[in-house]
Order: sequence, then C-alpha cells, then structure tokens
Amino acid sequence: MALVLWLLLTVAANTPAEGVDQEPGAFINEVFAGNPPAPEVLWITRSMREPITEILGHNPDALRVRYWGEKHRTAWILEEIGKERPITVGLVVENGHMETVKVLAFRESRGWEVRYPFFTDQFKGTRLTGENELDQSIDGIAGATLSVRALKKLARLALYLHNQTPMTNDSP
Amino acid sequence: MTRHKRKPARAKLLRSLFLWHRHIGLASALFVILLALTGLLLNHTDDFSLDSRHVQYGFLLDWYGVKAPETMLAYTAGSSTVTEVGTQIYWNTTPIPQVSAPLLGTVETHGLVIIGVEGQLLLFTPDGKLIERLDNSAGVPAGVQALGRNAAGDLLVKTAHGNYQADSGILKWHETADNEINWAVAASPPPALRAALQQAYRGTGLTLERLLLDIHSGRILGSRGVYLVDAAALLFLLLASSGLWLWGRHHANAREHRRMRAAATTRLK
Repeated sequence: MALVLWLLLTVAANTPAEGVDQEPGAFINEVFAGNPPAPEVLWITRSMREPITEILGHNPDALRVRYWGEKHRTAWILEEIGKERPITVGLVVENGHMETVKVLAFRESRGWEVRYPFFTDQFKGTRLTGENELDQSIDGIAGATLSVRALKKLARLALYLHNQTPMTNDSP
Repeated sequence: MTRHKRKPARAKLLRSLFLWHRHIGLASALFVILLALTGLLLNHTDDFSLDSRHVQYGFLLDWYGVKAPETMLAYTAGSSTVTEVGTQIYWNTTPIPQVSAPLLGTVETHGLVIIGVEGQLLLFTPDGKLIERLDNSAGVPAGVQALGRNAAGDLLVKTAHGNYQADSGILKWHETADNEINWAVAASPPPALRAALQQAYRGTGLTLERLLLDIHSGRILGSRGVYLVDAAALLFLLLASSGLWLWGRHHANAREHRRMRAAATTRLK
C-alpha cells in the first residue's frame, strides 16, 4: 500500500502541467548544467525584420528576443503557432549549427508527435544556407504538417538569430 | 377493354405524381441552395479562415445572446488603458493576442509599459508595440500578485514570498525591502471606452464558422430549426424517390412506345 502511495505521489510530482513537457527555466538550467549565464537581449533591428519575416511567414511579434549565451553557444526559448495555439520550443545553437531542439510546451490538439526525439533529433547538426534555409532535409509527419512547419521555422529562426549575436564571432 | 379502363387511371396517377414532384422540388429549392452554399463554404473553412473571422452584426450577436461582461478592470499607463474584459485583455480597444485574464496590473516605467498577467509579464512600447514576453525563464519571480513602482520609477512585483525589483531593462530581479511602492490599482474604464470595449468584446464572440454550421444544421432557429432541416431532408428523399420512379415510368413508356411503333411498321410492310 505504501509502495502504491509512493508511486502515485512520485508520478503526480513529476507530471508536467497540461501540454507542458518542461518549464523553460528548467530547460535553460539543464542546457548550462545548472549554471546558466545571465540572459541577454537581441533587439530586432530594421535590417533583421525582413529575413525574420521571410523565415516565419509573418512579422515578428516582438521587438526583442531574450537568449542565454556562453562563448559560441546560445540557447533560445521561442514560440510559434502551429495551427491555433503556440508551441514553445527550446533550441540550442553552437558554432552556427543546431545542437538541441526540444518542445517544451505543446498546446495544439493535433501534431503532438513533433515532441518526440525521433523527430527533433533530425535537426541536430543543421546549419543555415545562404538563403536562410536548413541545409538538411527534415522528414515530415503525416497529420502533423503545421506543427512540423512551425518547428522548422523556429529552427531556422534560432540559427539566424544566433548569427546576429556577438557569440557567433567567438572561435571555439 | 380492361387495358383501356386502366390506362387513364394510371396516366392520372402519373400526372398527379409529377405535379407533386414539381411542388416538392420548388419547396426544396430554397433549402438546397442554402445547404449547398453553406456546405461549400464549410468545406473550405481553412481557406476562408472562417474559424478566425467574426460576425459583427448586432442583431445576430443579440440573437446568439453574446454579451460583454458588466465588470471590467482597467489600469491606466500613460495615455493608454489596459482592461480585462471577461477572459480577454485589451490595449485600449485592441485585444492582446495569446494573453488571458487575470490581469494583475499595468505600470509605465522607464519608457516601457509593463502588463502583468498570470505567469507572464508583457513589455510594450508606450504606443502599444509588444517588445517581449517574460516568464520564469527570464527570471520573473513566481506567483506575481501585483505590479507597482518605487520612487525612482523602477518596476516592482509583489509575490507571496516578498517584493522584487527589476532593473531598468527588466533583465535582472532582486528582492527588495522598499516600502515606498505605488501599487497599480484597477478602476472602471471611462464610459466611452467601456462602450467601445463592449462592442469589441461582442465582436469576437461569434465566428463565421459557427454561424454557417448553425445555418447548415438549422440550429440558428433553435430546436425547431433542426426539425425544419429534418423535414427538408425528408423532402429531398421524397424528391429523389419520386424523381427516380417518374424517370423509370417514363423510360418504360418510351420503350413500350418504340416496341409498338416497330410492330406497326412490321405489319405495314
């Protein structure tokens, strides 16, 4: 009985809020091994608006983006709407290539398959081409077209934004 | 002889059925047009963005009973007012997307307007452009209950475990014992803004998709409307059956006519 109670309490304690796989703060902590740097902000300048609009397919909805950077590595918490509701994604870029893509909160009713590593692992190692496209093809998921599209946009955006930070010039 | 007696009766029946078929057809025409048009539009909900376009006609909103809540909480920041209406938050009369009540407060500080909602702080320019959304990953203290300013104009938030102060760029937070804090206080919006907000709120209460679905199913007229569409569906069934039967009879008569003409031609030869 005690074991059952302990199991129930453990499961309840570790179950994320509805649609939330990991809190953004926990993601940043995990990425920097519990010692995250102070957050920085990147202002979306006029020259950055056009490529960002091209990547997202709409105007950026904020004037600045917060990120955490150390040497040549930056971490981003970005959001994009799949069909109706925003998908929160944590992304880590190192030396201009994608290191990690993790869906932190998925609020859509369909397309949740994009949360799984079999999909997100495809982004590892991708870079941006000169046209701000991903240099590797990402396999889609039947029935999750809009969520897949949203994640591709965010991966391109994180790579683009990384290239706009001072971290991009740091040599390894 | 028998054949001569039966033929006019059958012809009369056919004539009568044809007339009924025509009347049912005319009666159904309006329903067919309505169902076809609404069905076509509903089939392309995404293409026409029917689920994100809203009906603005007052009489339809009244018909659906879409009303704005009486209670509105407004915070003034500079020349703008941020108001909670139902679950929606408005910057003057424009709804702020992806944000929902409760509104915890609004303050203007260091050329920024900060709006506090549950789990988030939103930074705006004084003219209403969103600068950034902040949550716990940006260091915002958990469990924010109210927003305020100190004498130096810095942003402060009240939480269950103390008050926290942000730097001028809202990048870093630290706990503070400052007691001279002006907490943002909610008030009722001015009458003109209240009326505009009521109109704006009602204008987001009914999507075009909902309206078309209700016209298509007859629910726009309540349960009687559903029965009306049921009756129309029965008329369609009747129309299809009588049409098929009439077509069959016509086909059989034509075949018999051709056969008789062929027999007469053979006899003449």
